[in-house]
Amino acid sequence: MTGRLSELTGLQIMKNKYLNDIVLIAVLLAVSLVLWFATVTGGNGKTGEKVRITVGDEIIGEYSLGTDASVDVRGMLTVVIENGQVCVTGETCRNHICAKHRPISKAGQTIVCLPNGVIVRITGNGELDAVI
Amino acid sequence: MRKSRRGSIKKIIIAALLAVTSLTAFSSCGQKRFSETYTDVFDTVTTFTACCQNKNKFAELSQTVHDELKRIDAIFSIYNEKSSAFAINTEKNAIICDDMYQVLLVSREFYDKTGGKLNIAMGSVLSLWHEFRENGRSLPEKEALMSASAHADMDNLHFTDVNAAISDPDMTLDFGAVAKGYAADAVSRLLDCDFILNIGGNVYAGGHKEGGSKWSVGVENPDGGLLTVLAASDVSVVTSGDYQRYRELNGVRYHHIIDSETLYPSVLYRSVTIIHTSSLIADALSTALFCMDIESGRALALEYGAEALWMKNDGTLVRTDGFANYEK
Amino acid sequence: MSTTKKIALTGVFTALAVALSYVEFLVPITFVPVPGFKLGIANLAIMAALFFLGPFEAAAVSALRLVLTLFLFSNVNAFFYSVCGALLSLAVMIIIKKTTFFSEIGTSVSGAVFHNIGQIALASLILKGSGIWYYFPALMLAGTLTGTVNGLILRFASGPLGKIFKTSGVQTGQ
Repeated sequence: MTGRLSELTGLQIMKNKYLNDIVLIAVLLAVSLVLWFATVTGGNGKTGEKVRITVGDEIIGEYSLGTDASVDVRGMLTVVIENGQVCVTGETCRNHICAKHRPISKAGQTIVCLPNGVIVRITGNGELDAVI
Repeated sequence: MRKSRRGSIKKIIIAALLAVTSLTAFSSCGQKRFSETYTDVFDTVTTFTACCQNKNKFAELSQTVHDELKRIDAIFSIYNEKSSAFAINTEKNAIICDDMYQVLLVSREFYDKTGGKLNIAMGSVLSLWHEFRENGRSLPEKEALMSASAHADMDNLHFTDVNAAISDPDMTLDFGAVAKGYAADAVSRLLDCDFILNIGGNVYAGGHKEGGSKWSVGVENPDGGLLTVLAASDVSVVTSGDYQRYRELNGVRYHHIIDSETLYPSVLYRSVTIIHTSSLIADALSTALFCMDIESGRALALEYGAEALWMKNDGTLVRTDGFANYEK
Repeated sequence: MSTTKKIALTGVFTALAVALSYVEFLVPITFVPVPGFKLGIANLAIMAALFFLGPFEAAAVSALRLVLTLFLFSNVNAFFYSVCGALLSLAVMIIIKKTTFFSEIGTSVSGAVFHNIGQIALASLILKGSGIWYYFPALMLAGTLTGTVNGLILRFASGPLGKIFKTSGVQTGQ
């Protein structure tokens, strides 16, 4: 009478319902793990992070952050993408006021060579809206 | 009895779902974000990001912002021959607009409060360093710096709300420590939408981003990666660091923030980050605190109600009490 | 069960739901960059209402909990995500319970997972991009786990609780 719930789901139905539960949970776990590996191992882990190189107003190239590359930017400098990090080498800008020389790797970060008007930026659905 | 109850429950659920999804279309910044970059103001890269209904609306907004930035840059740029700053520096006497007056007021206040660490009258010293960064051949001579610093006394700047005059013929003003902050504030006064503006490291985050969360601002670790990520809304974040503008000579890095006492780039910290509702205050504080000891800096930050983060040379971080409230 | 008793128990479960919501509120999900994503612990109270009283009462508890939580310690954006998750979750739980294929545990797990689906679906509408689904596997995992825990708690507590409430004629499979 009291706690009929536990009595109803007593022995006779136990095997069926609980077995179904276990199957359900196992399926859900499997699905979530499969999805996990599908998204995490695709690209650089985050969604669609790209390295965008602009000279002035012109986008001269967009490259995946996850693929190693070495890009010559009109003879002014070279953008190197390696192991998910981006750096700039061989700047010929006359006074080296390139703002940053350290490698960048997160969406929102930029390397700037202002005299040449070159901006190397990592775009994508990263969480950062600005990096200072 | 049970069946009709169930039927009405389902109806309620469906109706509610519809209501919710249509309502959420209006929740803050529930639109697409657009970004534009300007490279022609403040001698740095400026990025303006806002959530708008469509590309055309954003283009209009961006034009307004860009115009305002150009207007402010044209007042304070000491290299622009048509600017108010240039007029004051060359003629030593000029009529000024209200924007210039406001900046002069705050700069004078900061000069007094920081014991001269923030000094917009240090133009003669700063131009020697600017020249070095341009041609990079040789460091400024110590004697040249010393004699230049004799012409950096703020007391020789006299101004009213309509006029500014310099009584020392060899003294010039340099607004590098405050112009970007003032510009960001000016833009924020113009806009009432959600946006984030980054003027060469001087950030103002207005409102929230799409989805309703605060804007994410990452503070760089000069040695790679990030020091921290901040959640910003209706607040300004400014960092002064030794990695932002520099020139190397013989393996030594000389950055752009010159200590008014040593006359050389300040070497107290790697970076100082300030959070404050006014970008002008944040900009001024970040420059000042970069050249001050932590205790004095902390006191000054407290006085203005700002939060601060110092990255010391050994890599350790020091925060004011409320800084962590902004960290994610 | 008399109407008075039903109303009283609805109140009890609502209070429990709000209390559990507060616990949810204290545990922010930091890895998802959208506010309002919560763990779904309060689902326990809604489920209890569903199994002890019935779908209408469960809906009432859910609605009351959402409104009270909004005014007490939440914000409007989190509210919208919670509403979406709660509605979808409740609908699914009512349906699953009706099929009697699963016990409370299975019902709870489905409810938790669909709570997250509801939240992510809403987020992808607002953010206008499929990027947000990147976080779904992690949320799904979390939902499966909390759902299982909630279900187990209900399963083992329902015996003693039933005795305490002295509920006769507890609805099952309706």
